Amino acid sequence: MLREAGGLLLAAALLALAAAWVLGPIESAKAEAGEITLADALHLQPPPLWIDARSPAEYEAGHVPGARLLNPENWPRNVPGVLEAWEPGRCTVVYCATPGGQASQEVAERLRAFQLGPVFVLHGGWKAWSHP
Amino acid sequence: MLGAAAAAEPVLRWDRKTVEAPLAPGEKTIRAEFGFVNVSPAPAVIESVKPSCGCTTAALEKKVYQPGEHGRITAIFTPGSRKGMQVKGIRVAVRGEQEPVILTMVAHIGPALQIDPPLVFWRAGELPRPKTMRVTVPPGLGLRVIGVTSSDPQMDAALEPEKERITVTPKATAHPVTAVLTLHAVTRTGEPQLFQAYAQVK
Repeated sequence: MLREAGGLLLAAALLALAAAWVLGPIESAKAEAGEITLADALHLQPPPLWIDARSPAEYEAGHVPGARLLNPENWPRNVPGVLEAWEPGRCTVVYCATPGGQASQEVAERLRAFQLGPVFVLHGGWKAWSHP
Repeated sequence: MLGAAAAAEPVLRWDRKTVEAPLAPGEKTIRAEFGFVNVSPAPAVIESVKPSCGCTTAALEKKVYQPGEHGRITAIFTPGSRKGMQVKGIRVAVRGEQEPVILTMVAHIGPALQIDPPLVFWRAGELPRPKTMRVTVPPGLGLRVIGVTSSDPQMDAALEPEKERITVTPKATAHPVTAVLTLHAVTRTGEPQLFQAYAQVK
């Protein structure tokens, strides 16, 4: 029993260390809220997987380089491509058209259920990138 | 007297008067079809089709149906921000029938089926041990999961309905695999429904 408890403590400590390593540059308050600023996102190592939760037309008009299109409407069609683009140890950052928008919040929540690592919503949405 | 007796006979026989369906993931509307046949010896005239709510439309191909002729009403419900169980009625007035026929759409807005976790994952080189996904249907919805298929032959998926779970097993973990697992379900009224989960080796 003690050995099991010790194992759990060791696992928790390793997890905390891994999280600190991945989330090092991120302000803890924002990380807890699930949001990240553009400046913090640009410091993530490895670079995050960007998810564009806007409409296909908005995506075509311009997006963060390398971003994958994924919103609640095209979810079944686009999830496999997102999973293929994700790499272990990589954070995910989601943005949509409006700051704190519903689409990015919903997509982030669904991606968190996949338990693939930290998933953040970009503070300020697309405008944070296009008009920094 | 004869006229009254004749008026009491139904003019149309409906395939069904209630359709129950969840809002499928990624969809914004729920569509239901109500088929009918004119069982009277004379042409049937549908005088009006009125949904109970502005959120529902009901389309009829034409108004007059000959004896024995089949037709259908296509209803589309747009839930918008509505949540939970929604019941929408459509009143159909048929000439010669004393009471309007009430067609009903029962829609469940929200997670019709919970798959937990929605993704099972193996690191490359990890032992290809089976992993399970729990499938939960909200009580009262009447949805029945009848099978699961995998988009990639390198990923096996098996439904254990009595245990409400899916067991997923990769054939190997030497190479990356991303498989879409499609859960096949039927509603109480027989509508097929598809849900997706995912399995990945990376």
